[in-house]
Amino acid sequence: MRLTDPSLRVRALLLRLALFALLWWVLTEGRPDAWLIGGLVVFAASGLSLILSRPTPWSAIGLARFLPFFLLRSWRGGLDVAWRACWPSLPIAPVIMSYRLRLPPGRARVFMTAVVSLLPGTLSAELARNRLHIHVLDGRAPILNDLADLETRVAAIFRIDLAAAQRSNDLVSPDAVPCVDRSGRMRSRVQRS
Amino acid sequence: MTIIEILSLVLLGTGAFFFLAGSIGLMRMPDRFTRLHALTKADNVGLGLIVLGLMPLAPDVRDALKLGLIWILVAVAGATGAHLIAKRAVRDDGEDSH
Repeated sequence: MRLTDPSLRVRALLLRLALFALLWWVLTEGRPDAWLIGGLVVFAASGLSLILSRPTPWSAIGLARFLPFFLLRSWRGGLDVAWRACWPSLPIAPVIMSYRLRLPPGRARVFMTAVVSLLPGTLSAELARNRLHIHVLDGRAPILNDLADLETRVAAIFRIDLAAAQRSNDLVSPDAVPCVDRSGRMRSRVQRS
Repeated sequence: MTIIEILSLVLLGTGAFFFLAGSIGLMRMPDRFTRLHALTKADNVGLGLIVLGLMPLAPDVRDALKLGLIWILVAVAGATGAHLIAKRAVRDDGEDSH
């Protein structure tokens, strides 16, 4: 998405300069002589990052709300898989599910795909068209509600209106049939929609 | 032993337990997907706890930040790697597929 708002570009540049400067300070262990090269590197990295990753709107409040949610849920994710792995009867019931994304293509989707793999019982297997195919460790757990909740929180970070995004997704790739593969076969190919 | 050292020790021990559980999962789980579940999630929590346990022992704020950075990078790499392996497994077109 190309952005015309110049203030967003300026804010993005300032934020990235600050982050790269912090990174350099941490990596060089605060040695003052390292800033001779550091200043140059920080500017070059910030400029390059603006070219490689264009600034998109984001919300500090959305991010601040997301972090505790993510930490708590990924802690539960680790706990969940740890007890399942150690329990003598190995209580798992794997299925592959397909979740219809409301998020628009782009950074928000990629972000969600990565986060899903760290949350309890879910592993993102494939992102195809408007669907995220997810491997679920225990198909009896109510996963779809959790995913919708996560998607709303991701949308809040990227300032996305989910209802509007979904309408435009449907225009590009209409997909009315809910397809949930509950066969649970380990090597079943996922239906491409 | 100070309170901080005891807290660190508890966090490090719990973190190590998660790594152990992840490795047990790697051996016990039946297929690629379920093994990925065990490794990514348990190791993410395990490393997070170890980083939290080491932070109070770090000599200054900068070293504590560096530890936090390590956790973030490993979490990002773990989630990305897991997705790529799962994607290959779902397509069943890996070199070792049969």
